[in-house]
Amino acid sequence: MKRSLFVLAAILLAQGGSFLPSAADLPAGWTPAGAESYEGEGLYGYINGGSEVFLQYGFRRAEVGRYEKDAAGTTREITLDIYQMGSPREAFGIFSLRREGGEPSADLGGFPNWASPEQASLAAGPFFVNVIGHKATAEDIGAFLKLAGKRLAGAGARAFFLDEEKGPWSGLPSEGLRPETVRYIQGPLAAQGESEVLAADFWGFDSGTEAASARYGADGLKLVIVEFKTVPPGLLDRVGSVFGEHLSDVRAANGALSARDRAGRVFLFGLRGRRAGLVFGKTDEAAAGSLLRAALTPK
Amino acid sequence: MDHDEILELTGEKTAHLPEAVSRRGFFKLGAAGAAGAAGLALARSLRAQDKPAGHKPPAQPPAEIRTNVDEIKAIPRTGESMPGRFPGRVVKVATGQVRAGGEIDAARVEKAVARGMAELTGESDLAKAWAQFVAPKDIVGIKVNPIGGKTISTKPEVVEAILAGLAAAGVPKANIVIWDRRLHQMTEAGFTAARFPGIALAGTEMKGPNDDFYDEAGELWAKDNIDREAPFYFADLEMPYNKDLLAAMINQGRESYFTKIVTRKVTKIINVPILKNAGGTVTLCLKNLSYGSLSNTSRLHKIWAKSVAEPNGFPCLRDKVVLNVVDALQAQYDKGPGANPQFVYDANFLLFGTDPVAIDAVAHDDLVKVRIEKGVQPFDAPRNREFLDLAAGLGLGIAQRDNIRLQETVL
Repeated sequence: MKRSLFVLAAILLAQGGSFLPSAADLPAGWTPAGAESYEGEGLYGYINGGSEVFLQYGFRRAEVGRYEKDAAGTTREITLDIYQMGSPREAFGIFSLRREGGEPSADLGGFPNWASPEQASLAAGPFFVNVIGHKATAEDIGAFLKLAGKRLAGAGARAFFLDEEKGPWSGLPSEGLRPETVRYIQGPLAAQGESEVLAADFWGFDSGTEAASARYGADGLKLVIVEFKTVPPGLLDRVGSVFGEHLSDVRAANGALSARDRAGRVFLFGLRGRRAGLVFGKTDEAAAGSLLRAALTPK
Repeated sequence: MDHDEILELTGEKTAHLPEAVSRRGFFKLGAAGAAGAAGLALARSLRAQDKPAGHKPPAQPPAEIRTNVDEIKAIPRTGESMPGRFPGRVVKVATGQVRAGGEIDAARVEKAVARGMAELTGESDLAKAWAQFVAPKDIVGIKVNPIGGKTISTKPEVVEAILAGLAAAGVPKANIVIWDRRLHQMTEAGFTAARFPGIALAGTEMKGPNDDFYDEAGELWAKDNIDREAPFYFADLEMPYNKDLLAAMINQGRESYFTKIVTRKVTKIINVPILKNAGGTVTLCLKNLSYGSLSNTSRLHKIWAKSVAEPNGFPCLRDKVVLNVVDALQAQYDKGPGANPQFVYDANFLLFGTDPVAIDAVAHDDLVKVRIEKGVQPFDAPRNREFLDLAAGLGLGIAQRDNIRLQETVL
């Protein structure tokens, strides 16, 4: 198994070094307009309540760089955040939460990345990079993302490859998988954000349960694989309770549950050993059943 | 394959019924089509779950965190206490598209604010409409939310429209302060002296002339900005803060103090939050006031619903907030409350009301609808409305939608 060589990068940060681009490195016309850093729970001072999910992914330190460029009477602004997380796995996790799938990405040394007109992100080793623009162009945003990726690569950060490390994503069936939608779920807040079904305490996301999710096929059918350290007793009853409270047409048999919401979307849940699967989306039940079956069948 | 077939993949119609499901009467084990599903092996692969490994007693629910909210219930209310002049009333003004090429159509926003105030008050005269809430002698605090930078913070154009209303009502500029917890974030969001000449800009947390949160003696410049003499919010939990975080929290321990801006400086507050999600609900009127007014808030996220609702019951907020104007020209439906443009959309409406609970309830439903439509969440969960019920229980407003009168108008 390859391991990301982030030690050098971590040492650099520990020594007070910075991965923010220097003025000389900036794209033409851009100038620095301020920089800050936050450590540990000090992140509350930057993004307040938004910091909770970062802390649940092992957040350690963030550098925030602000940049400006005057162009045609308008001031373009860029905010570049570089978050050092607990591990490459956690950096990928926090990165993965912010992509929907289908966003364009670029070849940035193998680092997973995406861009939208006003935001772009990448994961590089233990670092998560987020770029937000205000009146900036997509090219501006992309240039800063590339710059950050280059600096992190130069410091030894390596891409995190899902197929090189075991995790809940290993249970995602490959057929029909849309790789750009894979998410790694760690901690209660990410779980809740993934689905209200996962919001209840009994899942144990605060005590080692983790999950991965992805979308499948053209319909975007979603599969969540949950891996327990210890399966909560009475799990099927508890999930059934959640289904019963919020969904209709709830049925159960052979350790599986199915239901529909008001819009007719199907929900399936099943458990095998310490792995559970949850499938939902606008699709026919056959496809959902096949996907759940594939997810829970030992490989 | 029909519904039953998914569950009956081995053809064994099982009797394993989740008690909770059947007890609630939701369980419907239809027979039709079940047997025809042979060959599909979902159930076979699922059988192992019947005896989950590692049986342990269920985890104990976390102990209820004690707060001092009961103590403040005894403080007499005033005629202007929440929910104010119009309990349970919410006016929604659909503005049409106000953003083009990254710019906000300020004239359109001003018209929308005027329309909203007229609808709310029944006064077509702008000055008379605003005079229902403020008088020239008042010190008016406009509470903004600048946390999302320029991406998703209260828009300066909305505040400018409010200032026009205050001017019409005769409130002098010198009597107005735009404020939030964090002065530097206000600057980042566009609330600058250059843009708002003559209007005070204030933050509880602030840097000193040395451009640091701490002075040369290691004391926080902002330490005297919180009111240790006024009633404070006690919650029986704490977390240690490092030096950086303390600068953003001002104090640690189990007490959260209100900023002197609300306890001493202003006589009236106009609350101007921006519509964003916080998990499966909104962070809006109540949160903007509670977390925006208190010190030592990091620990409070562990009791989110209580700490969003309860501080609003303190006199410095309950008796001074006279109006809420929600900026939903742009809103964020996911990954809030931090700014993520990926999830920002042009919602193109403003909400008006004196009842912060009713407004939050309306906005909650609106945002959850968007989240469900976009596939972000499958359904609304009662837990996400808990803060509304808590606030209603404190008499701060109306949480039940059946009792809320939503008045919609199109600009």
